[in-house]
Amino acid sequence: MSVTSAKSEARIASAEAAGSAFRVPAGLIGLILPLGLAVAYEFAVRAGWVEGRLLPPPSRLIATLAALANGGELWLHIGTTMARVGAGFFFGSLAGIVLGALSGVSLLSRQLLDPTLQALRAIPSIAWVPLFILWFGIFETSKVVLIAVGVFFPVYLGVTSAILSVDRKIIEVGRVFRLGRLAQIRRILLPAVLPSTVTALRSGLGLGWMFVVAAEFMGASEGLGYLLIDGQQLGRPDQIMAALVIFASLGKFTDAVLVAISRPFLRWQDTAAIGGQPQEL
Amino acid sequence: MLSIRALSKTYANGINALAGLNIDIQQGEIVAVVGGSGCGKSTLLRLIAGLDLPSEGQIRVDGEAVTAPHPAIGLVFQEPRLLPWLTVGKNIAFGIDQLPPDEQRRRVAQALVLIGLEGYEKRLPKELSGGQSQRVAIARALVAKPKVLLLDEPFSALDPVTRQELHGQMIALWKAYRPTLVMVTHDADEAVALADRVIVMAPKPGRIADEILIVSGRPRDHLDDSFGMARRRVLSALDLTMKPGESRLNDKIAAGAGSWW
Repeated sequence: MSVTSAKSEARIASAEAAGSAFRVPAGLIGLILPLGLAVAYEFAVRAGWVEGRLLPPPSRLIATLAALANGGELWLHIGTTMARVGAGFFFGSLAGIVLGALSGVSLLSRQLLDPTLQALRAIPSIAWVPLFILWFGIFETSKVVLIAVGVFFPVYLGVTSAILSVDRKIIEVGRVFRLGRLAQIRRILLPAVLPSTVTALRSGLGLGWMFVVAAEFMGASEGLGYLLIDGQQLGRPDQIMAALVIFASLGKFTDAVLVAISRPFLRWQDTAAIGGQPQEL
Repeated sequence: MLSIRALSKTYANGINALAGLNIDIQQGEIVAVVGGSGCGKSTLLRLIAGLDLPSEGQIRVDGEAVTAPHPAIGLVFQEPRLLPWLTVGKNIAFGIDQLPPDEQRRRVAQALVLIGLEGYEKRLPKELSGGQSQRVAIARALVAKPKVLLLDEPFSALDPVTRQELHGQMIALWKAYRPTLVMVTHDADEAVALADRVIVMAPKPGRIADEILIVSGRPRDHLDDSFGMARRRVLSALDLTMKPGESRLNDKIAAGAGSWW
């Protein structure tokens, strides 16, 4: 009896070991496609099947990035762009949260604010550029304002609708326990709107990255957007691609930071994604 | 003591949900309110809880008029309505955060034992079953030590086995805290199993059709003769409220005012 059970345990253990040997960490699965394509393209260029002038192979891209990094230029461009996105995101999301909260909590301010803001939202944000340049000049202010405008709307909309969709039933729990207005906001409203607010901030941040490029197109001497324009004018697709890769990495990185900061506060959510990993439905 | 005098509620859309209700409930009494849909039983509970205001009449708890949610009155909703971002322990302590932390911890620990969820203090609501959640909701209301606890069909969403279990636990909690219980239910069995007195309500407008005293002790045996008789009495009173024919109903009210066995 004990012998057979020991045997079967051993069999289970070895089966588990065999299973885990073949298991690929979930994060790596996503790398298969881009890395595979990169390697295949590199190989195709080296074998002479493709010219690779307009679309530089990965090795040239890495060399360009390394050269930019060594010259110190890269860090200047990254720093400048990050500072612009950071400032624009800060002011845009602050305004979005404050006005969104106002319009969510009070009917009067919603009736007062919302129609005007919705009308302004209908203007494609890039269309503000000429006006902003006239108003704020061609230097930092106009760029930060443009980014802030881009960030503002999704945050404003997200916060307002989050507040409006807080479950009346949970607010009633607060009433039964005689919470005052402030306690009602602090203990029920804020935690309840946090998940949608984080989502709104994430889409705001995404737009912030979009608008920093538009802002840097309208005349900048440094920044990743400048690197793009510069690459175009010099006819250097490798430099353009390098800037694109950095945009992708920074966008993903800042989004991940936002998610990581908010995760401890959102652990209670009962959603399909468990532990940050979406489950199969 | 909870006293309800000439209580009426007419909603803005003209629906007369309650008309001239008079009820006196002794401290520690368990009262079940049964009735078909639209008889105003949930309205009655919301008025006692101070969530809505009556059109006429008055509710007093120990002589104090109830015009807003009152510290002596707790309410358990049909759904648990736990706050999903708080742990079980913090959900239970939600209404007593003005007490010193030691006292909060003591009350939460005691409540967890009484509802059979020791060791669940740090769990989140999403990890609980329906029955467990509802027990936490009941504990949350009881740790504030209300004199009156209102329950709005608290077990209606649960399966029969879990419901039976919670009936037993409800009585144990009642013995530990001794609140007055006013429970709305549509289940005659549940009413007879738990209550000292069953108030049967009739619709259009909502009013009291009958009151049935249940004198047998606890725990109650569902197969017992007196249990069966009491249940039949509740069911037939309920039946009458569904039928037209006001005069017969009024006779019934007069005849059924006292206890009958």
